[in-house]
Amino acid sequence: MMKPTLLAGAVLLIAVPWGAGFDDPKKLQPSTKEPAGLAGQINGLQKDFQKKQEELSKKISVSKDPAERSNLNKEYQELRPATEKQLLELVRNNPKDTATLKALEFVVEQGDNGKNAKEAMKLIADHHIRTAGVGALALGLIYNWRDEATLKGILRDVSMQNPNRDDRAKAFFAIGLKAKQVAAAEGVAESERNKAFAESTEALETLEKKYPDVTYGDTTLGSRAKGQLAGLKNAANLMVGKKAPDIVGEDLDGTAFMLSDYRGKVVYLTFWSHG
Amino acid sequence: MDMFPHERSLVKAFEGLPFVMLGVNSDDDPKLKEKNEKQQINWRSFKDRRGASPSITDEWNLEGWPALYLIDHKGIIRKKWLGGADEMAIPKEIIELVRAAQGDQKKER
Repeated sequence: MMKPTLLAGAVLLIAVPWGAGFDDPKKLQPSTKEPAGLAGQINGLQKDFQKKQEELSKKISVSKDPAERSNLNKEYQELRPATEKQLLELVRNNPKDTATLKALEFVVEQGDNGKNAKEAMKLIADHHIRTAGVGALALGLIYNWRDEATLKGILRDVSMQNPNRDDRAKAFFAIGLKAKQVAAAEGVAESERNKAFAESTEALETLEKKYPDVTYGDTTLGSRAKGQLAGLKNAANLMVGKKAPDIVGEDLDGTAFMLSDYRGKVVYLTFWSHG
Repeated sequence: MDMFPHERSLVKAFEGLPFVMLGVNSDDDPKLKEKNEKQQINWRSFKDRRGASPSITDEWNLEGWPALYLIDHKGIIRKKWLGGADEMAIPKEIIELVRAAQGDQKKER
């Protein structure tokens, strides 16, 4: 495990002064003393990871020797944890620096919920509630982060304390979606479902009222909240054994029709696209 | 997962029975008609987007594909497959529901 760590560090040290010094030799001196700052170091480690991963993928795809392939695969699998460790080391020395959020995002984004990721999550909770970008980061975790309490705590704190409107809005959206998952799941006890329903409604209505204009992809969070609230109202009926909500719309030729037009027949309803 | 061949064959297998396949299509694509012809899509679909109203996928809480619902002849949801579907299990479920629908048709006569 030590070998890849040392290697990656060596490549970074060589790469930074070269890049900086090539065009302007006068800049070489300061940049060797101060290698590009924390943000630069983090960026360098991530780029280095990507490059190595690509190189290994190529080698694996052309390798014909099973033993070599197995070694390369092992090396590939060790690459991410090694990078995570290096990034975490940087963060531990400067946990409050806002530049470290990008490193922490790298560590948690795979959603493997492993040791590194858990440490990163704790660092986010302890030091980055007010950092720009933390709302989007936490929103990205709602479908695969298993430690509910930590994630929920981060979301609640960001929604109330982050100075950026964008981060607060995304935290509210995440709270709404997360609670909606519980409200819409099969086999949830009535009291738990009601609580989740109320929590989701409150968060989504807050978005509609206070943050309707915050952009989200090619739409706004106000519009997303409206859609999610429509789904939330149906959640209790989208269960096995319940009457399906009717669908009123038009077909691909523009002719109006309804799901209930087909009462008397078994309906196989498929949500699809060509992708 | 490409469900098209499976779904096409279901439409054919249950032709003439109290069964219908309906889709909710979320392509916003001017070439949708050509693509449907090429893929031989043989079922009727709702357009997912409905102007200012919430989309159907929003109303149905969709979080991913595939998403399939089996609804009986009385409008009750009997099965749903979200995020994954065992293609082999689906026809059996349909047969049972079609039989129940046929049973009720006979009673009405």
